[in-house]
Amino acid sequence: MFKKAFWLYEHMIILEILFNWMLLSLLYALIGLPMSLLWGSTRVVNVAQGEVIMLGAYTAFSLLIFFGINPLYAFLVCAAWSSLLGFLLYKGAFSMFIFKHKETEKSSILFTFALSNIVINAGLLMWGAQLRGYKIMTEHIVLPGLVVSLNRIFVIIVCFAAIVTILILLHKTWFGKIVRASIDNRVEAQLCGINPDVVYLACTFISFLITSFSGILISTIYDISPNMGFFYTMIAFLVAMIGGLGNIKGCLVAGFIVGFVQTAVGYLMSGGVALTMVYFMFVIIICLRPEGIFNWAK
Amino acid sequence: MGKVVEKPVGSKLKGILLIAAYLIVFTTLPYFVSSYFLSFLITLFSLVTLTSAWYILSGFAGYISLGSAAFIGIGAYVTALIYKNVPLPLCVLFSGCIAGTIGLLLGYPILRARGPYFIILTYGLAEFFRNAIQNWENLVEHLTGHVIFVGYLIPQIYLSIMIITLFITVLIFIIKNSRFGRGLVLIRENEDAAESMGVNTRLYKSLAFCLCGFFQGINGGLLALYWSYVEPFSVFSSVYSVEVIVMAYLGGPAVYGPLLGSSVLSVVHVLLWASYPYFYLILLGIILIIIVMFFSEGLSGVLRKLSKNL
Repeated sequence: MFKKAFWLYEHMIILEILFNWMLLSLLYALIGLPMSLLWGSTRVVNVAQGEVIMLGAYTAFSLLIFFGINPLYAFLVCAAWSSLLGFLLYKGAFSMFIFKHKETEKSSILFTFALSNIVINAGLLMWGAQLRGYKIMTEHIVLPGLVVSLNRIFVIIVCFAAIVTILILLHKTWFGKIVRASIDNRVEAQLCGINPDVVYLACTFISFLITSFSGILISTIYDISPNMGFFYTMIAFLVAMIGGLGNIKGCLVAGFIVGFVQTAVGYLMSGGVALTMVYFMFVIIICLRPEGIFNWAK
Repeated sequence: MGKVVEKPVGSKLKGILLIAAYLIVFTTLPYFVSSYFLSFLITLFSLVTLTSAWYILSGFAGYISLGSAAFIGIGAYVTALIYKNVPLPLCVLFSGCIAGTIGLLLGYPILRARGPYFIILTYGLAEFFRNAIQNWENLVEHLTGHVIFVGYLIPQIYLSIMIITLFITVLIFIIKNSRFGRGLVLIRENEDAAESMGVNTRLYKSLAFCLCGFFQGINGGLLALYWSYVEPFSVFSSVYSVEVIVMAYLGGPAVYGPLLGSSVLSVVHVLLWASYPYFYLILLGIILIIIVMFFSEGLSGVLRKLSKNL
């Protein structure tokens, strides 16, 4: 009797772990994807990505708290400001200064590092340092073997839809062909008559859009604070580097790997150790294969 | 430019005189000024040391490090763990040695990563150490942070950090004209060429990382005694990394750059940090953006231009 009950309990735990793994993996793939796309195409390394995620999360939060608007409308607001931000950064900083430097990646890291510092501290001034959060779609659904809340299912669906959209956009359309061509070889793509300015602008725009959307998704299930960006920047680097720059399918696989490590270690030991393991993985990956594990498949 | 620069006659004598003047001024200073001014000087000297140590790796060899907080934190933690059993000066020295050893050991695998990968790696390194130590404290020691019970030590801390600052400044001037320093500059300009010229690049880079770790570790140990409290979030705070980067870039690519940049910014630090920390950090970010975009030469470049025009 007890043995059977214990077996059932174990069984349910395993289903829940699988569900959480799925959630984390898709979310991490969605976070790593803009980094991979932007770095792969324009050679701009966006260290401030976590801060864009933070701004997206606080957009949803502020809409609900200050205006009483459903946080789902934040998708519209975020689409507006993130595309504007991407456009301004591209026109004002990337194409005017950073592309002209000898070492684009180095100067872009320093630039976005300074930017992230500014955004974090402005956020601390505006919203304070405490952890915030709100409730949305907290009703639960009972499935055979596990109980899940609606917002997690919502996050999984949106992540999946976004990743599939981008996969189709990059692999099945004419625009995707152009982008992949300039990721593979910038100079030859320009020789074939591809205007790099348009491609880079589009990539910056898509990158900032997806990043702010992932911020909204994170705010529906986790708590948020102005300092939360750093962890997600690390995750983005990790996913982009395991998957290989500009490799969207690799990003998806890398998201599953990172999600697996975090869920498994979190279940076996503790959540804190899981974070340490993620950082450790980050160090190991950069030391051993910074050009990506899946890049030979391309 | 291919031009042979002749050393001015008596530059060694001038240097010794400068060092003597520095020692006389700053050793007699504690008898005249208040302890508030002394703590300002401690901040100033520690920032100069941190930035100069950063300059050994990142200025000479071009491997920019965003993770100065890692070595500061390690130094502070070593001091906090052993200060009861070891006499304090040895303890601070020991924390520097531990940080230097970690730098040497980590340097061999880490410095394989070149360019942007190394910068990103150091960006995550401090957070990795913070997370590991925090988990260690949670799981094994069941407490957070250590309180360091030492008496009123501000004059002693001031004297030791002043001597360390002098030491590292002289060291940078020596390194610049040595075989080691020229090798590092060659690595910055073209690493493959340096390797084919017979420079042992991995050893040189690791040694530079080790020196950087040693001085930042010593500084961390002294700062731990100064704060008398050590906690993962405070000693591994990314604020130090940001400050060091901004000061070094403000100073510009010259041997006296770190000295210049950190002296200017430490005044701003003292004015703003206590009352308006967020504004201070926003200001640092704005300064860094302006320098990266418009003045890649920094203050030393401005000085050079001025002295040419005169």
